[in-house]
Amino acid sequence: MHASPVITVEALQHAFGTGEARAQVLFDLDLTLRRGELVVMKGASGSGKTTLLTLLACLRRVQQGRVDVLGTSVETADEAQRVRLRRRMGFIFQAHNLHPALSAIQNVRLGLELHGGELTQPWQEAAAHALDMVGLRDRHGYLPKNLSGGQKQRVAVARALVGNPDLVFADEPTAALDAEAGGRVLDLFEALALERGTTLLVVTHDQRVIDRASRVVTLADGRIVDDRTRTPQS
Amino acid sequence: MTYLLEILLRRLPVGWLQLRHRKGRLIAAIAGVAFACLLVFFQLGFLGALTTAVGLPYQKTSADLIISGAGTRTLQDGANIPRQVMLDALSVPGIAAATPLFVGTLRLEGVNTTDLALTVFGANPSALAPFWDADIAAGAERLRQADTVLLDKKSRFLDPALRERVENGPPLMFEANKRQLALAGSFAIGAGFESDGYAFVSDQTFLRIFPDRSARAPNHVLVRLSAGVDAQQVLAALRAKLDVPGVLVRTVADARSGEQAYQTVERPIGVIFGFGAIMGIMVGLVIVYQVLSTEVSDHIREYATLKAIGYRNRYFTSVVLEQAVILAIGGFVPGALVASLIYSALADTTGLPLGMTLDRAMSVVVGALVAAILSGLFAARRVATADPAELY
Repeated sequence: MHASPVITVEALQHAFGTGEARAQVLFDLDLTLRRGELVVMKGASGSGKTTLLTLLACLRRVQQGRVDVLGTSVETADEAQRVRLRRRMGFIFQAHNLHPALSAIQNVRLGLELHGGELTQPWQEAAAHALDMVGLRDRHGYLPKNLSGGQKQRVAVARALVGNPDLVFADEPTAALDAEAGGRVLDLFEALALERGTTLLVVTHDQRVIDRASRVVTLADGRIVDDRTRTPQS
Repeated sequence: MTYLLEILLRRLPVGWLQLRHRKGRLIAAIAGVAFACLLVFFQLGFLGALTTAVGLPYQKTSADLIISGAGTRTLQDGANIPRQVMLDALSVPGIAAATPLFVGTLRLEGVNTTDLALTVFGANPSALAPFWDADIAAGAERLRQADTVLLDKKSRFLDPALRERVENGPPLMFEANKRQLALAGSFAIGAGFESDGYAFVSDQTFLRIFPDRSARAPNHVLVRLSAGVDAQQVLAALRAKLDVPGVLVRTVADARSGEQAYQTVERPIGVIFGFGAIMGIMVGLVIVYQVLSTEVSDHIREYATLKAIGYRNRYFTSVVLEQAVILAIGGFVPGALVASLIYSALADTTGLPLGMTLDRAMSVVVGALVAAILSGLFAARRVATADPAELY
């Protein structure tokens, strides 16, 4: 039995620029992502995977086609609705984008505070727990400038996951990680997918991630050219 | 500080943490705001000193009304009026007493390290007690002796030794307008912007020092009312009685506030101080805007990240305003401390009534906050340029 869909895309098209400078990057895409899937999206540079990711993550306005995310029609949603949707998502950027003035645990707390509520110890505890889960137990108070590239990436992963998101969008999340740290992050992804039903869409060419994905979608020239469900190899 | 702000804001004090992260820039920004606050304090201090100094001689008189020449703007510049108006005034019911007041300028030369330019009042010694404060009235007997002068012991640049001599020693002779005069007592008013201080002489001595002045043409007539009468009714009756061109009848309070308004609003010195205060505020606005705007630009990528994960623009506005308030308060405190020290030093040097007041401090801190918040609101508009879609 299939799990319920969390993202449904129908006839999605997208272009940049106008007039002679107009360049279409997505052509009539159809895609459905289901609860608990760990999906890898790959493709050559310029294939449209980043544009698709930003559209599904409600970071861009849909120009043409239909996109349903977590039960909301994104193409008709206003900014407030799209912000509410994004609060149910986790984001991992290749460049980690940690705030340089905040310590590791403070950066992770930012992933929690937007959900509101009282300023209580559990925020701090939840942030500390998230850092512990990515193997940074002894780096809570470190500023980003005092962390290695891999450690920064793991802080970004902790920030994305600390709010227990329904959807996670990740761009090369393991590129800066060694085998052990990368394995730990992938363990976390798998656990989230299996135990919480979180859907993860990962843009990557890292074979370690592809091996553990439940589905691999390949884009070329703005079209899905391959979409296969597979059995993860742990 | 971080913990305190966290409790106050009920979130991570990201603005403060950002400012603290670049300590050199923070110190420079606070120094800039402190300088702007100091500029404003400086100008407001002089404006306040001008207002206070103008009011000092008025505060020493217990007269209720003052009759002056038409067009009189200050106590010193009153055109002469006929003495007859005093006699006419005394016939108005409700008026208990009236006395002429002569005003001139006297140079105190040769007895002080620095020569002093004094505003000298010539008054009838018999009228000192009902019309002037006790320290002036106490010199009435001495003023009855010809060519005797009472000196303002709070005059600017007055040597301590001369002050001591005037207060407690035998009379000290000096020459003014080719007459030998004797300093034989003191009182306290204080220096102003127009003169270094004040002096009192009898009306007879005044006319000897200024031979071109006439006993029939004083500068002002001071009037006291009978106990229990309605001042406004008597004022109206007096105006009706003296309904002749060239005479101005006011309450002393009105005369004082009129002169304060004239000095601070119409004369160049007041306008310059007021303009200086505005310039100080503008400097503060520009400094805070520049700092906050740079902060936003430097962190635009982090803000875009936070936008991506669901923070709204109002969150970033609150972060920028948090920084604006920190800069305003952080700059105000050292600015106020330095201003207090400068006030004290200038008051000692110039004899002007300069000093930090709660009203002024509150005005500057509120002004600094308003200016900083306005700058913050402008700077926060730049956050709108943070596009989370560009992060991937």
